[in-house]
Order: sequence, then C-alpha cells, then structure tokens
Amino acid sequence: MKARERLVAELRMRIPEISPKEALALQARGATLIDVRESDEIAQGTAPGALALGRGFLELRIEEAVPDLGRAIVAMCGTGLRSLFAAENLTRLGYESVYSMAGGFARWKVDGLPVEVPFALGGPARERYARHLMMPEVGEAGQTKLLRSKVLLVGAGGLGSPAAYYLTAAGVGTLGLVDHDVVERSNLQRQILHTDARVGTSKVASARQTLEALNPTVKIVGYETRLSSANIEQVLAGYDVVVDGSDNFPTRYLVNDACVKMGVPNVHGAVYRFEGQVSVFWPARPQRSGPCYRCLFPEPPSPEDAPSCAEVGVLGVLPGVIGLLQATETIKLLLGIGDPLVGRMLYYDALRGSFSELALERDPACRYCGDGRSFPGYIDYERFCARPAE
Amino acid sequence: MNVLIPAPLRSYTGHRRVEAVGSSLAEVLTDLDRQFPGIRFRMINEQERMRPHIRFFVNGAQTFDLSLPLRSTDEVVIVQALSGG
Repeated sequence: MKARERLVAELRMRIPEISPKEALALQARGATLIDVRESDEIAQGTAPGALALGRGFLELRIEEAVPDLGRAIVAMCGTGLRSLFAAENLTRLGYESVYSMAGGFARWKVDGLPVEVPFALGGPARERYARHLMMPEVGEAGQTKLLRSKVLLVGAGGLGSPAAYYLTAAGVGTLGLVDHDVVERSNLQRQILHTDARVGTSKVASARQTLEALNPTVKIVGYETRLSSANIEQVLAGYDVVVDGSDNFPTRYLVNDACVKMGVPNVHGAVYRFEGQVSVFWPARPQRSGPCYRCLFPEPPSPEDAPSCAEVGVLGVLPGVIGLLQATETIKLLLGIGDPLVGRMLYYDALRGSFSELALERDPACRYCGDGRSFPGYIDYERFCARPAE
Repeated sequence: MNVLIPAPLRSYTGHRRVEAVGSSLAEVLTDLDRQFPGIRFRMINEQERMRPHIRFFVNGAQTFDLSLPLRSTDEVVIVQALSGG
C-alpha cells in the first residue's frame, strides 16, 4: 500500500464521513458546510450557502469564519479526499464535530442536490478589492454583494461627492446620482468629484467622469433632474439604499416619504458650518426598526430659522467627514454587518472634535410610518417648507 | 449643567457649550433665556410646545417632557434640523 493510501485509510478510521444528502440535512440544521477546493474549482459551482475556504488558508481563517468550536462543520472537496485532510486539521484546531463529505462535490451533483454557480471575481477585481477580500466580514461573498448592490445618491455635492467617491472605490455595482445643478467654482472647496476645468458643466456628468476614472467597472446612472412627487418613485425603484445628501428641506422630506413608502433605508447626512448629523432612517427594517425623518423632525424650520450653507458657510472638510460616515453606514447596510445608525444619530462638532451619540425615538403616531398607518400620499413640499414659524 | 447649543442658535450664545441651571428642562430653558434673551422662543412656541424642528436630549436620550427633572450633572443636547449638503 502506498503511503498516501495508507494515510487516507487512517484518516477514514478517525474522521466520520457522511453522504451529500446527510451533509445538506446537517447544513439545514445549522452546520457550516465548507468548500475546501481551489477558487477556480468553486467558480464552476458549489453547494448553496457553502463557505468557500480553500485548504491554503483554511487553518488561518477558519476561526474568524466559525468562532464557535462546538458548531458542526462538514468539509467538502471534489471527490472526498482533500476534505478528509481538511477535517483532520479542523479537529486538531479544536472543532468538536467535524465531518468529511464522502464523494465530494462530484457525488453531490450526481445525487441531484442544488448547485450554485458563485459570482466569480476576475483577476483585476481580486487585485482591486484585495483589502476587502482578506477581511472575513467582507470576503468574496461580501464583495460580491457590493458588486450586485444599487445605491442612489441624492445630490452630487458636498455630501454626495465623498460618499460617491468611496462607494465607487468599494465596488458598489450601480450608483445612481441625482442632481440638476451645474458645477460652480464655489463648490470646489468641498465637492471633490468636480474640477476647476468642469465649472459650468453638469454635476452629474462631472461626477461620472471622476467616478469612471476611479473604477470603470461601476455602473453610474445619472438623473439630471430635480426630484419631485411625480418622478421620485420611478427614480428610487430598484435601489437597495438611498443616501440623502440633498441641500434643502423640500427634497429631504420628499426623500423620506418615498423611502418610507418603498421600505428603503435612508442614510441621512446634513451639515452646517462646523457641525454635522448622520443617521439611518429605516422604519421598515425587519429587526429593530427605527424612526423616519418625520418622527424626529415632523416639520422643518421656517426659512428664516434655517439659513443654507450658501448663506452661512460650511467648513470644506466637514461634508467629507459626514459623507464618509454615510458611505460607511451604506456599506454596513449592504453587507448586513455591524450595528447601523438606525434609531441613533451621530452629531459631529468639528471645533470641539467630538461626537455625541443621541438615541432617537420612533413616533408611533407618525403620519408616515406610525403604527397601522397607510401612506398618506405626497404633498406640496415647497409649500410645506416655506411656511413661516408658528 | 452643560447645555450644547445647535449651530443655528449659536448667534445667541457665541459658544456651543454653555452652562445653565434648573431642576427641570423647562427651568433650564428659562435660565438660558435669562442669559441669552430670545433663545427660548426659537425652541418653544407660544403654546409652550417644542418647535417641531428642535429636539432635546438628556444624557443622549430623547425627551419630549419639559417637566423632566434634571440634575446638575446631566448634559442637555439641543438639536435642530439641518438641510445643508
């Protein structure tokens, strides 16, 4: 008997083997199925929900992927040999309930079990997103989620610029940009998507040029229009997350109302001189839902109580800080990781160099997201926001 | 106690962080108005209700109760809706 055969025979004495059908049943009961094949093999197809963890990095990354040593693990490979070696090493690491899937993925297919062809990252994408891929919280599955995600940015200005720039860098697959303005020289102190040479051109066209230069694989969809009750649902349709970087109250209330109606998370950011606010308004969140913008501010200030940045100024880097917090929250929502700012607001004071975390209350009687309420319809937002103070 | 004033009302106080005294939120707002005349009306209307674009937080928790008892060690954060982007 060759040494290899002898070793495999010894492993079979120690490692319990189960059939693909038994592996599928175990997976349904909470076991982790780990595909230990090479990435080019996995790209041809794998078991749905299997964790792709090739043998080269198995021992180094398994503890981050499966921290619970008591959790059942089924190792699978092509024919059921490499999975024996993988299972042996997992047992040595301390995992208490490790199985090898007999016959491997070849038998899985013969048995007619479900097969999923994973979205394969090509070589350039692997290189571009290498720092994401090495983190288990993102990894290949997370990066694939980002590449399949669609984010709508309302405003390509102070907040929209940094948010769009980093979301493009992160590989969000489709970015919608809504802005009807043209680039002005006074924008360039903070709106970093635009350039001096593009003063006078549309912000959407200027933003597209910058973003496509950074990451040509991201699809940029431009909307050179002012959002209104008539077009907002058409624009929002299909987007996973909306980032509100608008610069006026009528748009903020319109975006809120549409997001509430369509169940889409609204990543809110707003700035004034040296201060900024960030929150995620998402009453439709499946677990631990939070308030909408109207729960917090049922009505806007009168125009005289709320001068705009054009009237009072804003520190150029401030929307950079707030816009990147919005981008961060967006990525967390898309990946389903961490604790999003749902029901919380971060209030940043640049001069003090401090953040305040504020717990926001949902209003059960809110006209738009309150308990048992049906959507009351869009309103005349310009009129709503032009009312004098009570 | 410390009270943090939102930027749009900073013209009254000159500072974000100011000191005020009172055993309830209402008393603190009255003391603020004594120090910075006119600021209370920007937050509380004629019907003695919080204006809908102004919100109050005590030690990070939102409150709608002007009679909420406060201690001198509490921190009040006042937030105003901002539109800038």
